[in-house]
This record gives sequence, structure tokens and C-alpha cells, in this order.
Amino acid sequence: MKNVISIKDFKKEDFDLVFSVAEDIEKNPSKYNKILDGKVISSIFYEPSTRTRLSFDSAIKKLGGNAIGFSDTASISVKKGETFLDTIKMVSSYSDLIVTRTNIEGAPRIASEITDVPVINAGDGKNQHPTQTFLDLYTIKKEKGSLENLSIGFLGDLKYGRTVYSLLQAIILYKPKKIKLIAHAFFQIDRSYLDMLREHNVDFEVLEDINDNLRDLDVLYVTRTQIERIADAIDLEPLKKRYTITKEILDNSSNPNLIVLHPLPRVYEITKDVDDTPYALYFKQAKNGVVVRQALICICMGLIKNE
Amino acid sequence: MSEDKFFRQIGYINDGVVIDHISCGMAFDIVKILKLDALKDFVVVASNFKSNKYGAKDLIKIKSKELTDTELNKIALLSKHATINIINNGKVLKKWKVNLPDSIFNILKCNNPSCITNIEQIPTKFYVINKDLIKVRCHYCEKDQTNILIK
Repeated sequence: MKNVISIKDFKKEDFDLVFSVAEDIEKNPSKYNKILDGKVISSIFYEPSTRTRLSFDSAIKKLGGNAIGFSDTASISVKKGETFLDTIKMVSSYSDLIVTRTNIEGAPRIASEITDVPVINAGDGKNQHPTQTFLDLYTIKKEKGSLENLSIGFLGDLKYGRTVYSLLQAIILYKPKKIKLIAHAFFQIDRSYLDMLREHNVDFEVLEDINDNLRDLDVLYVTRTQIERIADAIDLEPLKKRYTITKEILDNSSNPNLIVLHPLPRVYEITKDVDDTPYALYFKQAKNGVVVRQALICICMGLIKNE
Repeated sequence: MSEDKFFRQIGYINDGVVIDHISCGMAFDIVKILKLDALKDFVVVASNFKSNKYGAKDLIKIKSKELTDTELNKIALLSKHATINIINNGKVLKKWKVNLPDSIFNILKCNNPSCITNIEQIPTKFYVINKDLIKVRCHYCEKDQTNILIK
């Protein structure tokens, strides 16, 4: 594994390797804290980011590396009209690995093809957000013990939320027991993903309301409405109450083992009274982003020896 | 005189290529995309011709022309049932049905406006994921597309 571009590129063995390295990093952090000594990692973020950028910065520093880059395009040569490809070629000569986020879909893929340094996709428009999927799966595996045969519900914006697409592409490798896709018709998942689930013989349901649909789930993955990606005008107010998860809703599901994940930022979709309950895994999920990204950086740079 | 005989006489070529069994109505798109109207040698186009196999078809005959792989792929994209007949000394030397390859390079335009190939000058690459439906997937933005656009 040299690049992390799209979840579609990975097999189960690749996920297992990342989880195994992330676990080792958690247990033995001092083993890794100089592994990037003398190395420079570039973070080039054309779109705003809090968690992803900060967790990559943290991951790089915890591995003993140096981080350079930019997180907005206001004051850089992009404003002068420099193309993405030229920027990648230039940044490649300054760094040992590139992490990039952009709204141009497919840009990380071409980046990995024009440079010899590893490239990690930190999100490309509506397309992929693979590192989020790695940490989502790692979180689920840590809590549930295994990723096999789980019942997973997806709630909220399933149309514009790239984390949903990436996670679905990955979870089918683990033969889920059931997938529930709970969203307003406007935000329901693209039909091509239903075709994908059918091709993999996954039992799924397309639902429009929360109702009694949490009772048999192992995991509920909640997403924010991606307003910034919506071209059509839509009034969100009527949707807010209908698709908001509260402690009361979770308690009424009679499912004490249910875990709730969210890629964050959370806006209205999960109320604060859920935060201190055993259901709430989303802050642990964000925290896991650091070790998972540490693992991905080490693997992509060929620093993990097979034992 | 029968239609068949009329077309054989008016469109006779001794050497060249005949593109047969073109989906009805697609011949003019093929002429445009392959720029056949700019050729020096003659081109004969017949549309809505009777076909025993498909009911109706289009045909193109091009004198002294060899089709490149890129042109063959474009024909396959526009008309998946087309057959290519190589004519030499008035006889059919070789004949085959067009076949879409598994990957298509720099022929199609991605219909996703946010794709890197539409923002910067990069040759496109697509995978054919369903030959019957002519469904392709962009190598870069990973979008599946059926309403293909030939560059």
C-alpha cells in the first residue's frame, strides 16, 4: 500500500494491516515516536477542515515528523492560477508524503500518478474520504470486537455525504447482516449504491423514518446535511426534527448495545444529551483518527516491517 | 431495382471499409465524430436501410480508409452491434463485430463537471463496466456514466 486514494482500491487484508498497526501504535506509542525523524509531510488542503487536518498534523508530530502545507487558498500561488498538478509537482519536491484535500474529484488519483511520493486523499469533493472510513471501521472493530456480520444503519444525508459511500464500499467486504438506509427521499442514497449492495447480496432496507428501526442495529452512523455540496435550494427546517437522534429515541429503541457514530462536525442531528451515554462513540471515533492516520502514514512510507 | 442493388451500385468501393449494422440514426454521429466529411475520398452514408437482423440499420462505406483502434472504439461506443468489413479488390478481406475494450483512453469526456479531467488538461480514462448498457466508470472521479460524451 503506497497511496490511500479510494476505498475501492483496498482488500480486507489491507484494512486488517492498518488496524493491526494502529492497535500497536496505541499500545506502544514510544516505538513509533521517532519513525518519521527527518521526514517532511505536506498537508495541502484546498477546503476547510478541522478534524482531518488537525489529526493529520497530530499524527505527523507524534511520529516525530515535520508538517508543512496550507489550509486555505487565499494567500498562495493557487490564487495566481497555479494548477493542482503543478502544485503537486512542486510540493513533491519538498516532501516525503503528501496529504491533500480538494473539492476537485479525482485530483488525488492523478496526484498519485504524477509523483513518486505517497499520496493520501483527505477528501475529494463528493467522491472519497478514505481515511475517515479507516477510522470509522477501526472504531467499530474496537467496540464490537469484529466487523463481520453487523447490522448497520445510516441516517441523515446519504446523498451528499461521501463518508457514507466510502463506508458502504468497505463494509460490504465484511458481509454485513443488514444495512438500513434512513433518510428523507431528497437525501436518500444514490441508486448505484443500491445496485452495489444487491451485487454483493447484502440485505438492505431503504427507509424514510427512524421509527422503530434502531432496535436491531449494532451501529448507527449519523451524518450532517452537507449544505456546502447542495446545489438545489431546500428548506432543511422540517427535516431537522424528523432526523435528529436524542437520548430518548435511543433509550426507546431498547438496544443498549447500539453505538452511534458521526464523522463530525455535528450540527443538529445528535442532541447533546446523547454525548455522555454509552451510545455515543463519535468523540472516541474522532480521537481514533490520529492513530489510524499514523498507521496509514507509516504503511504508505514503507516503514512497517512484516513480522 | 431493389434497394439493396441500388446501394451496392451507388456505393461500390473496390478498396476501403464498410461499417455495417450501425444502429439506425447513428451513422451521422459517426461521420461527425470520425470527421469523415473531411476526407478526400468518397464516403457513402445510408440511413434507415432494411436489416434482416435489426429491422433497420445505417451503413457507411469509405473508400481507401483504414480505421484506427481509437476510431473503432468510438464506433463501438456509438453503435455496439456495428460490423467492420475490410474491402480489398472488391472482396471482403476481413470482417468482425466491433468490441468495446475494458478501458477507454482519451476518447470520452467525463460528465462530472467537478472531475479533475474537466478542470485541468488531463487525458481521460474510463473502465467499461457494462458492455450491454455501455456503462463506464471514470478512473479519476469514479462516477458511473451511461450518457457518454465522445470528445
